Amino acid sequence: MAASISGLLKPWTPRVFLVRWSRYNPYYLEPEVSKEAYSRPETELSAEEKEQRELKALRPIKAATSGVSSSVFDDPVISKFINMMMEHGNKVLAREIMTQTLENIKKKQVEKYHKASEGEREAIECNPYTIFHQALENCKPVVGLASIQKGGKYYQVPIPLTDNRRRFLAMKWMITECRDNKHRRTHMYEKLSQELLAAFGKEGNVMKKKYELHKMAEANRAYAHYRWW
Amino acid sequence: MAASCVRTVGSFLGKCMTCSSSINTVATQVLLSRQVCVSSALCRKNLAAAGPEKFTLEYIQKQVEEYEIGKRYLANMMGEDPENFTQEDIDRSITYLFPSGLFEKTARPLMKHPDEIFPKQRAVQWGADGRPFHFLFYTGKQSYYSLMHDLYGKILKIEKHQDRLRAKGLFSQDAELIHFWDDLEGRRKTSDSSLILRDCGSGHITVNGQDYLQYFPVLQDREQLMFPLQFMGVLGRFNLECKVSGGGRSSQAGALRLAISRALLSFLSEGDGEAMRQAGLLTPDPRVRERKKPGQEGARRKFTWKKR
Repeated sequence: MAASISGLLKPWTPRVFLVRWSRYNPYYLEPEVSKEAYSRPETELSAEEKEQRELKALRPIKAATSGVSSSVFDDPVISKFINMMMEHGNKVLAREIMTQTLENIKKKQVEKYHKASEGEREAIECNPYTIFHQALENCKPVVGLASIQKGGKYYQVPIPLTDNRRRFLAMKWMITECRDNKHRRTHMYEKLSQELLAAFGKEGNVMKKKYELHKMAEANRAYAHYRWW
Repeated sequence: MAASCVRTVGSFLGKCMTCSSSINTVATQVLLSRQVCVSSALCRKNLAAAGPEKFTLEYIQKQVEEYEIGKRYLANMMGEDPENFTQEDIDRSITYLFPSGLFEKTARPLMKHPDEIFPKQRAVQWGADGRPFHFLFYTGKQSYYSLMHDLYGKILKIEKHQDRLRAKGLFSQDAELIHFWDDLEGRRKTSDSSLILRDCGSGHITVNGQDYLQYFPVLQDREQLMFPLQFMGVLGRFNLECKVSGGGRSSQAGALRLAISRALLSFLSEGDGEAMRQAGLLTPDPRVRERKKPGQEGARRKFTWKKR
């Protein structure tokens, strides 16, 4: 009898399908996949991290998704970008495009490296992952606009964006720009690599879009007080 | 109803064979008392409250006696040997004496041993003074706990025996339990997998008889297979022999990953097991395909909204 009662109190996963709910009980915590997080000793952690660790020891953990692994080649930002590029669930193709893009970036940079003189060689970045991250950082907008209704009219009000939203917008602009505004006959990886290298150098259409958004936000600065959150 | 059949048959045979009058009168009395009924509604209520019919031990013993006597009479009637009259002979005789055209076999006249007819009832667990017979009656599961108790007694005796042998120097431990292999299962979506993990190997992985490079041409699936091994840093140490069925390629890889993580648990320390759990390797993924709902095109997608 005692066993059945404690069984009801544990976080349970219902067998029946629940509409509009996550299949996990909200009690479950997100998994931590990187190996380094577990090799850090107690002394290096701050108070919150210690609390987090203790909490993790007590609570159940969600299963790791099939896109993540603990290998050194796995990057959460790149995985997110691949998922955003994916269409109709064709992860194989999206991943292929990504690897070809990185390869292309590397090729171009290495070509530039060999052609450049001694002094310039140090400045050229050859690692495609750093180029990707830096380009995405450069594309991230700082403020966004929200449509707020006041007195019958809709105003575009500048609002601060969360980190996730900024990353999402940067990736979205990159992908849409490559899909729509480039020449039809070029491959996606070619278009992406061109755009990423341009963003790395703070040029290109995506950077233009970001600057336009910033200008609009600056122009509508007067309405900033319409934001109530 | 079967009970009444037996009674009627037994009493009929008794009447035929001029048995003792006591059985006759009891039978007739029982029959008479049965027929008198106060009112149908009351009868129904009483029957519902009483639950299944309970028969006393004496009553069942009496039924057994009647059955035995009736068997002998039947054998005499059929002109056969009463000592060696088996159940098949009884059935044959009854079908001969009481031919029935009923299609429902269970409705035909029946003469069987009362143990087969009356439902088995649990004998009363306590004596006349109210004290239970078994010493573990008040645990609620007396047979279970008495079994555990006996088992523990036997284990203690074995250990005592071992100590005695060790004192004499005759006790030799068997070969150390080297944990060679582990056989475990994993599930994801609709895929089932089972694998055998062998220690001191070279890192070969075989899936359904094929090499894993051939079975999983996509890099992501192979990454998932290697995930728990790489997380623990034991990539080249184990040989895997996997069987997987059902689902698609990604869910098969996920099922195998779960099976590998579970199998690794027994080879590693507790701290590593805890690290694996926090990495999300040991939780079975509960996500499955959401059903399509009526009035919508898919699970979430609604039909195109038209204003009119």
